[in-house]
Amino acid sequence: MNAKEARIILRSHRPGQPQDARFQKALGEESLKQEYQRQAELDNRVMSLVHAIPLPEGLLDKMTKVEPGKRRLDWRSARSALKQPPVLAALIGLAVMVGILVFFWLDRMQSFPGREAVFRMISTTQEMSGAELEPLITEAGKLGDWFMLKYGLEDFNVPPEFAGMKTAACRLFKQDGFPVAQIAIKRENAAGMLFFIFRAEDFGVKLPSPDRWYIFTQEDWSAAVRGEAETKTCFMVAVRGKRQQLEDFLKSLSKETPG
Amino acid sequence: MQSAAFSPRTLEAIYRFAFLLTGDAATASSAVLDALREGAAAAQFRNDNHRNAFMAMKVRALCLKAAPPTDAGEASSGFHLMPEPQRSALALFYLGLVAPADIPQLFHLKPEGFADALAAGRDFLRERLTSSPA
Repeated sequence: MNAKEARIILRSHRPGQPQDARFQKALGEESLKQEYQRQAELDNRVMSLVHAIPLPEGLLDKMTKVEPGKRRLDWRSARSALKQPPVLAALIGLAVMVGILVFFWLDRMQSFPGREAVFRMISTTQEMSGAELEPLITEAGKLGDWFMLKYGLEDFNVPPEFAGMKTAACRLFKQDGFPVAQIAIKRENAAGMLFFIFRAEDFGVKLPSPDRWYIFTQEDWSAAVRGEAETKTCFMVAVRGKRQQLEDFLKSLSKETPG
Repeated sequence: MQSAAFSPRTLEAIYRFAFLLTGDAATASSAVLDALREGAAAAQFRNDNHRNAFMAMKVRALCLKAAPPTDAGEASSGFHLMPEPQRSALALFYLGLVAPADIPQLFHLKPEGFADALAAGRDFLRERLTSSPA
């Protein structure tokens, strides 16, 4: 055994450990023996110090009563966990998935059979010159009788919350051979507004919840369609403007109209 | 219950190990309790030495994750100011929590590297103990 090997054995020895034959051999040289004695003195001093470190009051009791698997939540560890690339990637993936699901859910919420036919009614409006409409200034609520008398159409009524609005003109046109009533509303300092009334079954329109508005945008128009269960007709409001404007308008109506 | 896995004497040594690494009683207590809650004691081990080594490494990981120790620590020996893995190896060595022969492999040290780390640590402690009031 050379001095290097002997030093490794002696330096790795803790006072109180069994002293085997290799240890005894390592102590053979006098200088190493003295070196070890100085080391052992220090070790004994340090060991008495570290074993005298007091435990905080009640800690031992807490340690003996800890139940595994109930680690308390620490905001620091939670925050550092969020910074881990796999966790971060999973969170981003989750956010994207939620976004896609919300998009499809919103799209589905505004979707209904026959939507294409309703879209075409709005597209027709884009191509109008204005001459197609017959000027008629009256209250929208009175047009039900007018459509009945002039065209023999029953139940082409404007819902009560719109009945008080002033009309500017109206017409009846045919789409795919079926009648569609179109009413232009007179609004001061506001974008153009049109009402449409048509029979749901003529265009295969089936609104899953007839009592609620289905809102969509078509080119620079925003439109909301609702079913009238009793008459089996659909009533649509279209404004030239943003969807939010239309939503605000519909909300203001529901506030103004009791019930 | 935790007491079935570790004796009170071992639990005390585990706390002292954490304290030597951090130099702060609150951080050490928190690390030990968290390690026990994580179920380090519930796992199956071949013997107590392996269980203690596993627990010690768990506590060490939590201690090293905590705020870095400063010279203003409560430990007068300045143990917590030593570099890693010298600090952890020396603490385990003095506390007798793990058999000395098993300590080097915990820190991926060769016997020679372990002996050197102990010697450097002893020099550091000798200086601290000589300069500090008894």
